[in-house]
Amino acid sequence: MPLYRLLYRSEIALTGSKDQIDHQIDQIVSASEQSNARSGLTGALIASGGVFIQALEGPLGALEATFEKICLDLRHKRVNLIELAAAEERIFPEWSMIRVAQGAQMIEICTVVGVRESGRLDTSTTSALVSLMRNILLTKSTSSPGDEVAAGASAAYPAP
Amino acid sequence: MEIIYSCLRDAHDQGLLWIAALVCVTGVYASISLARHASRAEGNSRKVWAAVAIVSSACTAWATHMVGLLAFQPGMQSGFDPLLTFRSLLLTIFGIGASMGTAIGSRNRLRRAGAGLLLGLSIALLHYLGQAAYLVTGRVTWNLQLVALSLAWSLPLFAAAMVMSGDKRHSLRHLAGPMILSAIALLHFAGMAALELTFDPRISLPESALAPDVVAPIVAAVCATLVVLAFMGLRFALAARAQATRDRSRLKQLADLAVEGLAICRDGTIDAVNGSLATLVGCSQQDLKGKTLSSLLPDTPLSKLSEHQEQDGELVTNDGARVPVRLLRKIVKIGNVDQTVVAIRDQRERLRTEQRMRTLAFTDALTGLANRLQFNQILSASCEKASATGERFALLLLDLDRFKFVNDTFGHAMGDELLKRVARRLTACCGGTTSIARLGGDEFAIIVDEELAQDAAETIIDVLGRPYLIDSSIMDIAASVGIAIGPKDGSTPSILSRSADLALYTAKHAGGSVYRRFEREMSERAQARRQLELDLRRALVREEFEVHYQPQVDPGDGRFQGAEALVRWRHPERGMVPPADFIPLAEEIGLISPLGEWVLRTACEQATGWPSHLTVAVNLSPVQLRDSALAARVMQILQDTGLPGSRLELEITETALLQDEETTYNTLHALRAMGIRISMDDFGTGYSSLSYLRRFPFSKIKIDRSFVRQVPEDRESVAIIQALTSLAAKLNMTVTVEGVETAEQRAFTVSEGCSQIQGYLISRPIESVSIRALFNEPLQSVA
Repeated sequence: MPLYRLLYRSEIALTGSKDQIDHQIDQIVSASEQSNARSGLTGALIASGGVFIQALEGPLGALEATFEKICLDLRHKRVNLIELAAAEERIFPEWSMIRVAQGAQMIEICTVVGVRESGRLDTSTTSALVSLMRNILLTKSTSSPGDEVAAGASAAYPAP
Repeated sequence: MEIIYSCLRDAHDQGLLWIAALVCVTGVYASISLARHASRAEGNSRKVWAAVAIVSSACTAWATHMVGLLAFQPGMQSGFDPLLTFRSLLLTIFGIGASMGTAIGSRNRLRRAGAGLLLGLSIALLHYLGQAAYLVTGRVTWNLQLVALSLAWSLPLFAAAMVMSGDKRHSLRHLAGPMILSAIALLHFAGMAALELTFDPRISLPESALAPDVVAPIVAAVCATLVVLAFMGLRFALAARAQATRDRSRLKQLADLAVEGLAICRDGTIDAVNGSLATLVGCSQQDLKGKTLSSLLPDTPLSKLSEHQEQDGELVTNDGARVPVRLLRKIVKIGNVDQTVVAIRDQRERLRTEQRMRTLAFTDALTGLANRLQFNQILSASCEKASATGERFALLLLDLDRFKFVNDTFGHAMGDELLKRVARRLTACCGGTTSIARLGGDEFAIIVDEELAQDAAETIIDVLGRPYLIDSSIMDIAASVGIAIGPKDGSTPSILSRSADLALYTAKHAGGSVYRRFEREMSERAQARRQLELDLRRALVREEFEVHYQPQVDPGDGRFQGAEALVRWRHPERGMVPPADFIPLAEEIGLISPLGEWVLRTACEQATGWPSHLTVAVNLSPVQLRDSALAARVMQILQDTGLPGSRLELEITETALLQDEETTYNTLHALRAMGIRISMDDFGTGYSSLSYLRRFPFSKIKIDRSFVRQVPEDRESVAIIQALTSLAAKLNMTVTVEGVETAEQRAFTVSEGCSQIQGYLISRPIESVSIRALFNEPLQSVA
C-alpha cells in the first residue's frame, strides 16, 4: 500500500493555565496514539508557541479520515495543510504518535512553519522538517534531558 | 294424585300407554324441529313448513290423546263419535296455530304466556272434547274437582313452558319441551281419572259410533305420519347443524384471513378471537378465550368504543408491551344472536411509515440536516417566541465560496461528499442543540442564541475553511456568513431571512471567508439596486438610452478615423447614469442583449450620416457573443441601416472569448466575412492570452488606458506599449491607444508608430448631433 505523509499546522485553542494546557495536550497525544495505532498511522506532534505542528504518515485512506477528524476538532484553529504527498518510508515508524519535547531546534521548525498561516511547502522543505522532528526525538531519548540540542541537525533543511 | 296414578296403572293397557308416550315424544320432536326449519327457511317455504309444524303438533296432541283413549280399559264396550273426534282435531289445529301465531317472533313474556295459555286451552279442549266423543255403554259422570285441578295445574305449566321456550338461556329453553309433555300428560290422565264410568246395559252405542278397531288404524296412520315427519325434522336439523358447522368454520377461516384482529365478546368477555389478534397479542387463540377485553385494552372500556368511527387505543400484549391500535366496535348477528365484535388494527407499521415519511419530508436526504421545510417551521417558531418574549436570537445564513468550482471540476459525487462533510463540520461547530439546516445547493442556515452568533460565525468560517481531503484530492473551500438578529432585523421569517441574505450577500462581496451582521444600509442599498433594476427594465421602452461617441484619430496627422459608440442612460430623475453603474446590472438581469442590439442599430444608423470613410466601433458584451444568431442579426442591421460592413468595427474583451470558444470562433469569422473589423478591447488587463490573437480574426488591438496613464515616465508601461505595437505590426493588426490625455502621450504614440488614438486629449464622448457636426466640419482634423 502506497505510503503518504501529511503535515499540518494549526493554532492551539485550548484554555487554562500553562500546566492545564500541557496536560490536555498530553491527553490529545495519548488519544491519537491509540486511534492511530488502530488505523496504521505513525507520526509526531509539536505543540509550542501556541502552535501545533503535526506530521502523520500511513495509507492515504486512513490519513484522509484522521485529518477530517482533526478538522472537526475545535481545540485548535486555522488548520493549515502544509503538505500531503507520497512518501518513500516512514520517518516515525516507532511512534503511532509522540509529542516532540521542547528544545532549541524547535524554534527553527517553528520559524519555518509556525509563522506561516497559509500556503503549502515543497517536499524538500517538509522532508527536512520531519527529519528534524525525528532528530529531536532521537536526541531526547538517547541523551540527558539537559542536552536537547543535536548539533548539525539544523543543516538538515534549507533556509526558508 | 293417587286417583290419577291408580287410573294410570289399573285402567290402562300398559303397552299402549308407552306407545302414547312414544307418539307424543316423536310428535313433539317433529313439530319443534319442523318449526325450527321453518324459522330458518325464507318466503313461501317458511309459511308451508310453519303450517306443517302446527298441523303436526296438533296431530301429536290428538294422536297421543287417541292412543291414550285406546289404552283405556273401561271394562265395557266403547266407541268414538266420529264428528266430535274430527272437530276436536280441527279445533286443536286452530288453537295451536293461534298460539304459535301469537308467540312467534316475540320475546315479550306476557305475550308468550298468553300464547302458552292458548296452547293449553286448545289441548284441554281437545282433551275434553275428545273425551266427550268417547262413548261407552254406561253412564258417564265427571269429577269436576279433578277437571278443575287438571286445568289449574296444566295451564300455568303451558304458559311457563312457552315463556321459557323464548328465553335467552339455553338450559331454560331445553326445559320447555318436557314441561309441555308433562302438562299434556297431566291434562290427559287427570282428565281420564276425572271420568267415572258406570256400566249400564240400557245404554247402547249410537249407530254412528266408530269402534276402537276402526279408529285404531286411523290413529296408527297419523302416528306413522308423525314418525315420518319426525325423521324429516331430524334430517333438517342435521342438515342445519352441518350447515352451521360449515358456516362457522368458513367464518373462522375468513376471520383468520383478516389482517385486522377480531375479538367476539359477550359482556366484556372474549368469546373468540381470530389468528391476527392472537399473533398481535402473542399467545394462542385458545388462551385468549375467556379473558376480559379490558385486559387487552385497559384504557378503552367497551362502552366507550364507537360503532361508527374508528378510534385510537393501546393494546397490551402478552409481554406487557403497549401497541398503538385503531379500534372499532360492531354489533354483528352470529347465528341468531347479536354479538359484539371488536376490530383491532395494529398501527405500528402505519406509524412507522408516517414517521419515515415525516423524516423524509423534513430532512435533507444528502446530509441528514433539517431541510428548508423544517427550517421554515423552526424559524417561524423562533420568530413567534421572540415576539412573545422579546428574547433575541440569531439567524446565520451561509454559503460556500468556490463550491461551484469544486462541483464543476471534480464532479457531483465529489460535490455531494463535500456537502456531507460540511454538514458534519457544521454540526461539530454548533453542538447538538442548535438548529442546522441545508436550504439547498451549498446554502445552509443556523439558528443560535444572539450572544453566540459571532463566535459561531467565526468558528464556522474557520472550520469550514479547513482543507478537505477526499479521494486523494485536496479541496479548499470557504464559507461566507450573514447574520441577522431576530426580531430586531426582522420579526417575520421572511423579513429576517432577507436581512440575513443581504448580510450574506455583503459578506460574499467582501471577498468571502468573512461574516457580516445585517445593517440597515444594506437594505437601503438593496432597495436602491432594486429601484435601479426596475428603472433599467423600463428605460429601453421609454427610450432613455443614448449613444455618445468618442472620436478616434490618427495621432500623426490628427485626421478623424471614426468613433467609438458608448451607451449612456439619461435617467429622468437621476440624470446621466455612468455605464459602470448599470451595465453590470443589465448583464445580471439579462437586459444586455436587447440593449446591446439597440446600441448597435442606433450607432449604425447614425454613422450613415458621417463622411463615408469614417468607421464606428461598437462594444459587444460576452452575452451577445455567445448568441449563435449574432452574425445574422448584425447582417440584418447592416442591411436595414445601409451601413457597409467595412465601416463597422466590433470590440470584444478577452473575457468574452473564454466561454464557448467554438460558437465565438464561428461568429467572429462570419462577421469578418462581412468585412466587419474585430478589435480586442482592453488588451493587457485580462488573461492576455496571446493564443487568442492567433486563433481569432482580430484586425486591431486596443491597449488599455491603464498602460497609457504613466507614459512616458514609467519604463515598464513604455516597454509594454512598445512590445504590443511591434507585436501587432508583425501580426498585421493596427493598434489603438486609449486614454490619451496629454500631448506627451500623443507624441509617444506617434513615435511608437501607433495607428490610432482615443482620449480626452482629442475629445470626451459627445452626443450624436455633436459628433456629426464635428465630423462634417470642413477641416477634419484636431491637430
